[in-house]
Amino acid sequence: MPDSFRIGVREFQSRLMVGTGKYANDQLAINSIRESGADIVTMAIRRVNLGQNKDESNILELISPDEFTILPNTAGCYTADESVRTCKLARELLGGHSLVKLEVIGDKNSLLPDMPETLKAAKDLVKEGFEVMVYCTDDFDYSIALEDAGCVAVMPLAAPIGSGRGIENPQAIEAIVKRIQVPVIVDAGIGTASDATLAMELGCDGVLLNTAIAGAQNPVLMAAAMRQAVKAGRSAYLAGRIPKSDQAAASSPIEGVINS
Amino acid sequence: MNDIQVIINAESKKIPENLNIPKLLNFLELKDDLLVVELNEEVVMRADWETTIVGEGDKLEIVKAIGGG
Repeated sequence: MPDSFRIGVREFQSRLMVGTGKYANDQLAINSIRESGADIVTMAIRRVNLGQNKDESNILELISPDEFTILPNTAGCYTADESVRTCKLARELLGGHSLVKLEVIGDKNSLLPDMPETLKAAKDLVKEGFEVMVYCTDDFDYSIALEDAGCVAVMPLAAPIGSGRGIENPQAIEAIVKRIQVPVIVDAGIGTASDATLAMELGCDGVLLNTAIAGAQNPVLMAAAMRQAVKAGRSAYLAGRIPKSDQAAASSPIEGVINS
Repeated sequence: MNDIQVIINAESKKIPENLNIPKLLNFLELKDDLLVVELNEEVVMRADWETTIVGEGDKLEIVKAIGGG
């Protein structure tokens, strides 16, 4: 059954989105990303090294915009102004492409988002014509404000970036899913396949992760696990789980048991 | 030909005067594809590279995509 979903003006098949950082080498990165089945892959924007080898490979040669939808991020930005500048650079780099992942960090140790600054940046970027997928805390009111600001996807964290702790506050994620109309994508903090499945079972539209695959002992195998996990969770959500009950309820009929 | 002083990626550099963007990238020995240039906090569109001349005291950022999450 096709189960595509829409972010802004684009339609996607895969609900798993993956990052391109932290891989041991380029070949492992592309093999893992292909195995994940992701349509959307994130990248960062950074200064070139002056005096670099002229023949140094560029990630866009390896992970091509012809094969994937590139989602440039504003990782490392601490202010709205920095993130808007980064998005403008990314837009020019990618030939006018307007889909971006906004991420404004408040503290370099926790890497938690600075929500007032994130909201300001989101408003500025929408005004500049960007389609903004916004990394945020699982704060209900800010999620609403970000949707109202015109973001095309709201992306609450499961847990801090790179922590692998899984969904620390499922009730908060579920509340956001129920309220927000644009896609809700859990971004950051996923550790293993069951975390991704839980995100989808809660009704999220997708999952975005990087370290859980890139940092696994076998990234290609973990990429396959994540692909299956997201599909399983999505199917379970659509299928509609049974309610939890305090009582046991026999699966086999009581009638006709021998000796009764 | 005189040199001018500019700041590129937060490094102070001496470069020849009257360089446009392609010539600057060539001077820096950078391949001119898959990167983007900002001059004094404004993106230089590729269509404007030929006609944009770097001047004394200009502040440039030259960036590319890298792996990230």
